[in-house]
Amino acid sequence: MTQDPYTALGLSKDVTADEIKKAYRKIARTDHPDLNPDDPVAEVRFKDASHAHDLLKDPKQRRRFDAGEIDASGVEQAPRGYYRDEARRPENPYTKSRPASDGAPFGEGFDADSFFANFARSRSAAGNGDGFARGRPGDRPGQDTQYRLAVPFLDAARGAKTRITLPDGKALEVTIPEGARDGQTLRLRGKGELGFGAGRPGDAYITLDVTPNPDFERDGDDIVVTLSISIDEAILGGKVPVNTVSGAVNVTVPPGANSGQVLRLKGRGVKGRSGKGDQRVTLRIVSPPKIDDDLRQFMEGWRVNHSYNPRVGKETS
Amino acid sequence: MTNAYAPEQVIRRVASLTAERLSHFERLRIVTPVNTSEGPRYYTLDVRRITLLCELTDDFEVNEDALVIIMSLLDQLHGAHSKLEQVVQAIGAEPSEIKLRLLQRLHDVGAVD
Repeated sequence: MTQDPYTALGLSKDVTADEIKKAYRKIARTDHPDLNPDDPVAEVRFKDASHAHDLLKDPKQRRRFDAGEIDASGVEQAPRGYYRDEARRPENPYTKSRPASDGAPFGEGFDADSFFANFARSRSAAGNGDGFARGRPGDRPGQDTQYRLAVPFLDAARGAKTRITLPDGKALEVTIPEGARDGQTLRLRGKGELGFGAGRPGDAYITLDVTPNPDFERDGDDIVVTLSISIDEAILGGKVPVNTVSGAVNVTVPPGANSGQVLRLKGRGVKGRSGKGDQRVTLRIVSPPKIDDDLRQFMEGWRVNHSYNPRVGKETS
Repeated sequence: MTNAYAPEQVIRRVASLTAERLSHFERLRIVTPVNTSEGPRYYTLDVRRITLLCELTDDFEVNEDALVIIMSLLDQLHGAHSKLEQVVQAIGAEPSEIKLRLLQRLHDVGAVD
């Protein structure tokens, strides 16, 4: 049942537009999910007031509602979803102005002291850290700038050079390091805004957004692919070409290969902290598109004396 | 993958957004689109952020200085929250004797009632 919008805002029908706004704001202050991100039930409380306000804030719509031309459900929308639901993810580019000392807070060589120091420091204070205290008054370091850059999967895996066109038309050269991860932030020293006086320029921070690739998937420093093989390749084994991030190579399929079997190509993955990862190739046996008489006859004959049970221990009841 | 929207699509999705307003938000650096070879793109995260910015501007009549401050505080809050979440996860992976000791320490500093 849809609540009366006036009731939802705790108002009577003869209020002014201003009073509607005030009543809505009062509720939103305590109940807007994005202004109360730690309150899980804020959304429930806010929903009715939000719908009511959407209906009544437009004088034309309010008149139509008052005249009974539309009912309160006229403005029911699909559930909208709030910023906070997305903002909590660790890869939110807006919450990190600078990369952690070595990219990941709990990577190798994790230094608890520096992590907790980092944790406590506000990011604006950090921006003014060095270079601010020294120098003449009037010298001020330039502001840091933030950018986000979409990087094709293979460029991230192999490393690449690219450029960002800035809003003012200038371009920024960006070198994407080999093995760049999704959400990784690069720092370009001195590429932010110019400083004042003798202040040093700020830094540019570029958060990478790696675009997925239909053929390759990344798992840590490993690359994961699926390789389709024919039934004869599965049974006889042999060398089958497969794409890697650095070009095609031949992989040796053992005789009697199975679907789902994983072959490992050492060092064909992505460069990571501890050397290169591997490429893991998952085999997938594909039947011929058309079963011809030859094959059918052969299989029928073969079955007579060679039948085997691939479901041992998993018999159907 | 998250949906990527072109500027025109975002303007269509967010009722009270105009091209001027979007570029204003970007000049204030409270919205940062993703640079792609096809031009700027916005994800669900950005669309919801922009919706919030429009609400703050229209419904609360927040001026641009206050808007920048609110977003900066909100970002710091979410950032601190996700760091705390990482700490909690890291602690969660520890054996229970360490968890108990940490609980005791938190008790000592008055963080737990």
